[in-house]
Amino acid sequence: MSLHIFGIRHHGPGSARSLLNSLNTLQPDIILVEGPPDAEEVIHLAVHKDMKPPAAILIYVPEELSKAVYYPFAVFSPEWQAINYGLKNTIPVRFMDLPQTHRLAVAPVEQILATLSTMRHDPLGWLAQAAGYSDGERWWEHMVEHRRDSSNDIFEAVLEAMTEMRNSKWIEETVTCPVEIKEADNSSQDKTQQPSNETSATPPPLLMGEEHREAYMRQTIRAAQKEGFKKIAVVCGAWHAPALKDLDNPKIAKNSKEDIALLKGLPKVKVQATWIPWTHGRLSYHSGYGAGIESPGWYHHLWMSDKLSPTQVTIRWLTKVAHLLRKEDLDVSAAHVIEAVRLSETLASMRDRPLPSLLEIGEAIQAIFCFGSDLPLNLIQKQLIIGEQLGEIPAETPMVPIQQDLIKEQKRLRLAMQASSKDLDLDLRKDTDLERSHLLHRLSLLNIPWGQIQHQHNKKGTFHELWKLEWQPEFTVRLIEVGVWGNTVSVLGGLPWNS
Amino acid sequence: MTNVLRQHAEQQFAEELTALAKADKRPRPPNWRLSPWAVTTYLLGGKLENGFEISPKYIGNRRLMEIAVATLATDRALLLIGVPGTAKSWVSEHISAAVSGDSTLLIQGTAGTSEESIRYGWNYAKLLSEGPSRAALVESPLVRAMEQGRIARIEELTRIPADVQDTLITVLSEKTLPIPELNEEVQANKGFNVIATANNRDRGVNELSSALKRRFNTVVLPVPETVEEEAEIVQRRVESIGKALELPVEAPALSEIRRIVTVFRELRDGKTTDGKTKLKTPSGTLSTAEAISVVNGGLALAAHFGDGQMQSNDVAAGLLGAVVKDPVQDQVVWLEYLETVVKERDGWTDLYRACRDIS
Repeated sequence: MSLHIFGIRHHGPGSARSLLNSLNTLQPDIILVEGPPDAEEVIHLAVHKDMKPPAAILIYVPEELSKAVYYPFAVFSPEWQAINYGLKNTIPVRFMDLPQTHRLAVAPVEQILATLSTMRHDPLGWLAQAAGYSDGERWWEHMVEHRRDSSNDIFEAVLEAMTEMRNSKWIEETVTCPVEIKEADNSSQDKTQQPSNETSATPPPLLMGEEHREAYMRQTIRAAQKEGFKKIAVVCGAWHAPALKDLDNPKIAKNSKEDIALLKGLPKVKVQATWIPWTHGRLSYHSGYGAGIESPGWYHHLWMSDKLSPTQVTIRWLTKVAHLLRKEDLDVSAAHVIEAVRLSETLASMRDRPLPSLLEIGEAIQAIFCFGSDLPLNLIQKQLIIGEQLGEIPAETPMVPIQQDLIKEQKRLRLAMQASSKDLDLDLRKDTDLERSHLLHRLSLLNIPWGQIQHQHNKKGTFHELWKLEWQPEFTVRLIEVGVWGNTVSVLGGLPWNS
Repeated sequence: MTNVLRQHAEQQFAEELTALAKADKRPRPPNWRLSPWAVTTYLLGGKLENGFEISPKYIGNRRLMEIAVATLATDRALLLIGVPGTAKSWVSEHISAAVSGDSTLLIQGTAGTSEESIRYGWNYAKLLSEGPSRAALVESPLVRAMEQGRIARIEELTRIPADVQDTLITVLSEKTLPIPELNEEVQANKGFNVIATANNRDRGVNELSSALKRRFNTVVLPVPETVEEEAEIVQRRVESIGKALELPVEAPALSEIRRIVTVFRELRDGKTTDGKTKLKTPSGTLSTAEAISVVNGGLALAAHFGDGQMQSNDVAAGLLGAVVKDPVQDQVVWLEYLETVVKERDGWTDLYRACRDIS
């Protein structure tokens, strides 16, 4: 019986690639993934032919929709690749994180996520920084992809590095500092403060923190061991890896008693799980999501250019940029691309980096494509580095009736959901356009501003309506929320919402 | 001490360049005196392994200098753009001093710059007596740079008439310069490159043709980000110029410099530092370079007519001259600034009085 821990970087294409290689050589008979066990009944949808990432698992408390958690996956997320690998090869895949049914009973996880500093979220990115790389993925690429020896070693190395990091007192101090500041805002989950008067009647305040989560993970692993699985693959954030190791070694394995005691009597709440389409924009830092990544579009590019040499990766990316700028009527020739590749590589070597990162490439773009101006860079940032992509989910996904109604309406009226904003000019004299307008107005009434009505210029007729459409993943939650009042958008839109 | 009024960069900083060359173990592009890394260290300053201190020449964003030097290493021409007084020529001089050890291959762009001064002219006496030959050719600095594999500098590229500017196109893309009269050509040797500087604010500029623009990598030099940064630049420059002029005065206090820099910045940005009051901007550019000359002028006044210490009345005339370029419009702007901002500010009364006295 063997246990293999794969400490990964969340949403890291490099980790995902190494993980896939390792899984292929290991051929495990069960895969445990850091994720909410509450979602196990919808996990099979991940390999549905209509499922297109980015998509997120949404877990919510039906009675109280402000308590909702998202687990987003992009195609380059190691967790996503692990789930896919398992399901496609008919290997059981299980989630092993502390169930949301307990965590949501205490506080929305978003808050807990927010309290974790980036170092814990992204210890590998932090290591990369310490090694002088501005981009964790390129660091990984350099450290892993360029070493042609067995890729399993890298996870051993990650495990070692994390053990070291978790033991280091200095890091503990720098890490916990921001956490405490945040927690002070919410005394009910702050374990360092005395319980305040209002909570003293209820059980002592519980921080569903790391200990609980890691205890549950260990318990899940133990359960798998008891069931007789021989090769257990565990995919978790690199930070957690050291806490899960050695469970296959009876001599030094920790006793399960402590963990059982810790997990005893946790509060519980009823939760529902489903999939929702997600966007690259929501994966990025800018939208304030805790475990976010800065440049999903770039990572997507790195993932897609799997077989290419490092120079090819740069070349392809710069060609994409050139195409984008051409579409915006900025002249960029192939000669420019050649020069930009050369400049970014020279810059990287001047800075003692083996490969140009997004930083060097961006500087080359500014100096060569944009004549020193930084305006086009904003465009590149939005369209390419983040990349406006909206995922799709299969129709079989569990949905409340109103969601199904909206999808039906939206298909009938041919209104595509898109993450990038799109202008729509409606002529209210036409039946379809009139119905589209009704739908958009009704949704705005329900506080789902999918369409924003725009001001009319130089058109005099009252039959014109100009809308700007932009779908946001959060709208789904709002939709579920209003779903308790009725089953179709048209019925709900007619309710007297003012009262 | 030489008698030269202003030394070239490679003379003034000869010691630093030698020390860098000795310590520099990194690969150098062909015909470069230093590696790109050492050139950036020369520009931005730093400490060598043997403890030798390199003084900073450019104070500001490190990345910009790295891009500029990397550009030259990829044998693309470099275009430095910025409003006047953002150290474009300064940077170009120091880069060429560090890369080729020679910053004198310079073509000054003016409205009267002709094609001959960019390509080559003829020594007509020789031409008439001996007929066309290489000996009768008067080479421009650009041609010499090509032959020697060095950096040629073109100052104020946008001041040159557009048709003359385009002479550069062949040189930049083919790296050769044909001499049809002799049926010959000059081929550039390795190490040759061009640094051009251009202005995007001045009056009377000729936009670069896009054919020429394409052949340059562009680096925009910004105005200094903070008051502290700008004050430091002014202080460093004033010190070194003062040494060259041997002015018998004490170096001005940083607080005095900061006050001048603040005046410049506020008028340039059109608002006060705290952002509370909106101001009219004068027609001049109010660059860091002008702030330097105001302080220098103040020092000279203090040395020869004052008590040897720069006072506000030594600076006032310089300030007025720098701000008021247009006697009608700028005068209004300046007076309004004096009355609304300078008068009200704590500890600025002496400056207000001095300025009132002369305006």
